[in-house]
Amino acid sequence: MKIRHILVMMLLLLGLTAHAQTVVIAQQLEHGSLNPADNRGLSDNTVGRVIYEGLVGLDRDLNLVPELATSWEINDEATAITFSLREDVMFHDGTAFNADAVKAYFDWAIDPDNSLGGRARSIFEDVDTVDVIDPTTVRFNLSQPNGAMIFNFTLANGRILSPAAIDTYGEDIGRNPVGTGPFEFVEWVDGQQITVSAFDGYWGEPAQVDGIEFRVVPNDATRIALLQSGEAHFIEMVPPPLVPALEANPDITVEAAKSVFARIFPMNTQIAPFDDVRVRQALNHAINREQLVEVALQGYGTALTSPILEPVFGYSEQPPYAFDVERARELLAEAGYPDGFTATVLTFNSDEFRTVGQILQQMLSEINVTLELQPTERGALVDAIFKPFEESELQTSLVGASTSTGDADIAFKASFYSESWPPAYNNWSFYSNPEVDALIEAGAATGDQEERAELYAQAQAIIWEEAPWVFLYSPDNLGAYASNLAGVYYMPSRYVDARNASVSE
Amino acid sequence: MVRYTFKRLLETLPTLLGIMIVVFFFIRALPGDPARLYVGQEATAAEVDIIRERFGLDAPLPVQFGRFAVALSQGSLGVSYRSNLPVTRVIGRHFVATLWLSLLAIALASAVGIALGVLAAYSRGSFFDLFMTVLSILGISTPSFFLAILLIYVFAVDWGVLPVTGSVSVRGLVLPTVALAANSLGTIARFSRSSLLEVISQDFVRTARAKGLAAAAVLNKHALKNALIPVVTIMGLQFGFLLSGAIIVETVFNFPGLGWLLIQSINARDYPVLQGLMLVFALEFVLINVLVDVLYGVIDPRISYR
Repeated sequence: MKIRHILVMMLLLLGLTAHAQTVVIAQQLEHGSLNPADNRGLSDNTVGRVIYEGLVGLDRDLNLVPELATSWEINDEATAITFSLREDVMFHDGTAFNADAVKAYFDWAIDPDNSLGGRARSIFEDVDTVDVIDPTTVRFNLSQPNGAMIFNFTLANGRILSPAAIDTYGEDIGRNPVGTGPFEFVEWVDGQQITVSAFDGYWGEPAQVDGIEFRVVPNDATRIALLQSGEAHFIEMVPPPLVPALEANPDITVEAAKSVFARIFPMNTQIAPFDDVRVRQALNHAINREQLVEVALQGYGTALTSPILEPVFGYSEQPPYAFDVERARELLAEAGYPDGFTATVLTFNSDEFRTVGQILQQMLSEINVTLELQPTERGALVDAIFKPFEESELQTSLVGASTSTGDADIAFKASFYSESWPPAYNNWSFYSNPEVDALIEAGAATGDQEERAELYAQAQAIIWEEAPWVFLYSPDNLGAYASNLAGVYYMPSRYVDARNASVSE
Repeated sequence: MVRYTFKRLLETLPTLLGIMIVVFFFIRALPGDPARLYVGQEATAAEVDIIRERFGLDAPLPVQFGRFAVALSQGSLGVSYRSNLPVTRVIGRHFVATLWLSLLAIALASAVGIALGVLAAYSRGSFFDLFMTVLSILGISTPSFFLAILLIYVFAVDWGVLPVTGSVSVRGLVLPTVALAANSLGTIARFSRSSLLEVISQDFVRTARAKGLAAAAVLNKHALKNALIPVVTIMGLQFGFLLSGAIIVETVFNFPGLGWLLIQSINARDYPVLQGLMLVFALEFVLINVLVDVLYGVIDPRISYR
């Protein structure tokens, strides 16, 4: 009797555990902090995405969609944004979500005395005050017109943390996340994994799995083995050469998604020979982008057609720089370099950048331009590229650029604005054009989105023509998953959205 | 002897202090700004400044060193930049993982290595001897990342009997242990074989045989004891290296040990953790040295200490 009893219990338990479904996602980068105000990394963003929600969000095509706000309104001067909030929302710790909570989070995040809010403070720099109009209406007053501000609310730093948790955890808030999302935080094993479980009190469509495990697996081969052995359901960052091997397996699906990442070759426009626009254009004509993507990325990328990427608001397609070696030689000769020149290229020491550097080296040798590649470890490279102009030894570099907000403003401000020369921001080409500066400023100064698009189109045409970069390509976000998994996908800004994860039997 | 041991331990203090001073200034002389690496490439200069202040990197170097020295004298190694956790806790957890892995690996390598070496020595010139030689050379010369990936594909991907990633658990330790032990195993087997061959060709072994002792008794009582002395030295050396964290094996198996931590901390220029790791590594070697010196006296009574 007893033994039978125990056996029945065990069978019941087995039956129960078989239904408990945990999805395992193997990530490339380590987690740093789950405090949204301090969120910086892609891995943190992926985990934060299932725990937190923002007032507004982005869908897969980077369209604005409502999240905790049901609607929003920007005034004509682009100096105030008013959000109407959902009423039925609760944080994981039971705190009610309302206008007071929104104000409490943002006041804390942008407080200059709060050392845990550096990232949020710079993203929401233009937010002056937050007003609670009534429990479901909140208004953000900006210190200056900013038509792009609504997009900043879609970033990880705009996702709302429980104000009660801020008080409870203080300095440790980054390790004890409390949001309103479909999953709540369970455990963080430092450097190894973060576990979340479905939140019962979620206001929206409930989670379709019991939990998610976000594992940190930096080694490419190990991530792939995890997927092949069935231990992981989704893996990030598949190296392009390994895609065919994975695709041969019928239980595995490889998905290449367009990204907002660009690979660029900025040239120091303030020094010879790159101070001559003809030299910069010549280099752009000397690159066969299709071949570059084919050889370096097995085709998993797209040639750039603008300084910003297609899904970004404000994008307008530019006439391509035709691959034309003769034209490139002519331009070089006109600029006074008929015999070419030699330039150093600072780049990362990762596989992709090294390979691309070698291909560029070979392509540019056709027009007698000799590149000296300097593959450099990330820490040393960052030191070198962030030196101010007077100290900088940068001639050219081969680096990345991205537009995480989905709006042209941040992309142009970072890379082409005169006040963004290193170390202030990412203007690696030391590009400076008052006309472009004025267009960027005007684009931010209005809330009229059509007008903004027009201003950015003008700026793009000028930048494309003046070519401070050799515009290269955009690498795809390559993820792979078990074929019975659905609802987990890469967003263009390279974090993974796993809120709708589901597993079929 | 207790007095000698104590004296030696006291003498290590200036060594450790010297190492810490060198490490402190050396890692700060390397290119790479922890604050910039923490905030990422897309951050503005203002954000970098906030983080630099949070990390205490805005103070002049002598001030930073003063703070470090004061904290160290109170037993604190500071807080990790990456994880914002106390360094002692971070290193402690990874040290335990590496300790388990190295203990198991050295045990496996010693047990199997000595057994194979002894058997090979006794069947010198036979097929088994040749087989053992090939096997141990394979163990020594196979790069550990290759062996690790091979093990993962056979046992985790194809057969699905063991997990891909390592962890401090029975199943999670099997593959990393084997991958890590292979090299030491080969070395120990080769050493045992040649050392035993050397011993059994000596006069006292011939005498033992001549007086009619059974082969097993000659092996156990006379040959093996003498043959193992150099093997033990090798085992100690191998263990010392394993304890500092096997970077490659830990990376491939995603095993949370010291080697793994070292790589992550270098990439992030996590100064406090790097300082802690260097202290642990220095301490390991200094202590092993003291231990070896003391053990000489235990093994060989002719050596005496004052």
